[in-house]
Amino acid sequence: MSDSSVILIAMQYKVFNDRILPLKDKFFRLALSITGNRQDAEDIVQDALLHVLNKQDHWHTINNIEAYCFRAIRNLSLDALALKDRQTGSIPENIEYPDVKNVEEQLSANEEMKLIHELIDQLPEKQKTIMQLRDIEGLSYKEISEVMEISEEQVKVNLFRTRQKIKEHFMAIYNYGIK
Amino acid sequence: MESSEIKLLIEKYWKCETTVEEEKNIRDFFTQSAVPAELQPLHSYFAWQKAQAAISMQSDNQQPVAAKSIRKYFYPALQIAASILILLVCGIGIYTQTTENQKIEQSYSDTYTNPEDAMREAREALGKVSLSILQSQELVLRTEVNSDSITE
Repeated sequence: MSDSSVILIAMQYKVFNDRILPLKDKFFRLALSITGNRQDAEDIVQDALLHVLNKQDHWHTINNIEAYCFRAIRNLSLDALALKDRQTGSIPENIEYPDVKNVEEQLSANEEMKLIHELIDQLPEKQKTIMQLRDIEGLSYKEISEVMEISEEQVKVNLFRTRQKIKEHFMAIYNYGIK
Repeated sequence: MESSEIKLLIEKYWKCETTVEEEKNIRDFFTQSAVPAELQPLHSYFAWQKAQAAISMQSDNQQPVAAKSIRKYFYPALQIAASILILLVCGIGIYTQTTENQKIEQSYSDTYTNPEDAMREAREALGKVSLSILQSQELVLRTEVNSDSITE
C-alpha cells in the first residue's frame, strides 16, 4: 500500500469520526420518527453508518456526506416500515417539561405533549420528515432538499402545509388568535 | 425578547419565512423566559420540539450491538435449522411409509413371470413335501412293527 493511499484512508476516518459520528443522535431521531421503534431505529443507524463506512471509495463523488447519510437513514427507515406494520408512536419516555413547577401542571403538560406528538405522527411521512429535519435538527432548506431529493421550493411547500396544519390544530383546540 | 417581537416571529414561522436561527430563538424563548398568557398554548408545541431534539441513542454501550447480532444473525440460522428439521421429519415419515408399502406389495406379488417355471417350481416343492411325508410314514410303520414284535 502506498503512502498516499494510507493518508487517504486516515483522512477518510477523520471525516467519519469528526463529521458523521457526531450526527448519530440526529440520524437516530430521524429513524425513530419514521419507524416509531427505538430498536429498529438503532439498527438502522448502525446499518447506515456501516454502509457509509464501506462506501469510502465513493466519498469523493458524494457532494454532501451529511445529506447522503440522512438520505440513507430515511431510505432504510422506509424499508423497515414497509417490512412490518406500523408500531406505536415514538412518544419519548421521560419528557422533561421545562419551567413547570407542580405535579398537576406537569401532568397536563405531558398530556399536551402527547397530543402534539399524535398530531405530528399522523402527518404523511414526507411532511413529517421535512418537519423533523427543520424544526428538530435545524437543517437549512438546501440541506433538506438534498436529503429528500426534491427542490427547495417543494421543501418549503411541504413545510408550509405542515405548519399550517399545526397552526389550525392550535386555533381549533385553544381558539388561539394569531391571525 | 419582547412579546410583540416574538409574536411577529411566530407569524413569520407559520409562513415559513423564518431562518433556522430565528426558529431557534423562538424555541429558546418558549423554554427559557416566562411566556405571556396569550402565547401559553404554543408553549407545549415548542417545548415538544426541544424535547424531541434531546432524544438520543441511549446506548453507547455494547448491549444494542449484541441484541442486534442476536436478532439479525441468529434468527436466520434458527429458521434454516427449523426448516431442515421439518424436511428431515417429513423425509423419514415418507421413507418408512414407502418401504412398508413395498414390503406388503412384495409379500402379495407373483414371484414368477413364466407359468411353466412356476408350475415346475411348485411341483418340485410339493414333491419334496410328499417325499418327506412318505419317508416319515415309512418310519412310523417300521417303529410300529418293531414295537409289536417287542410286545409279542
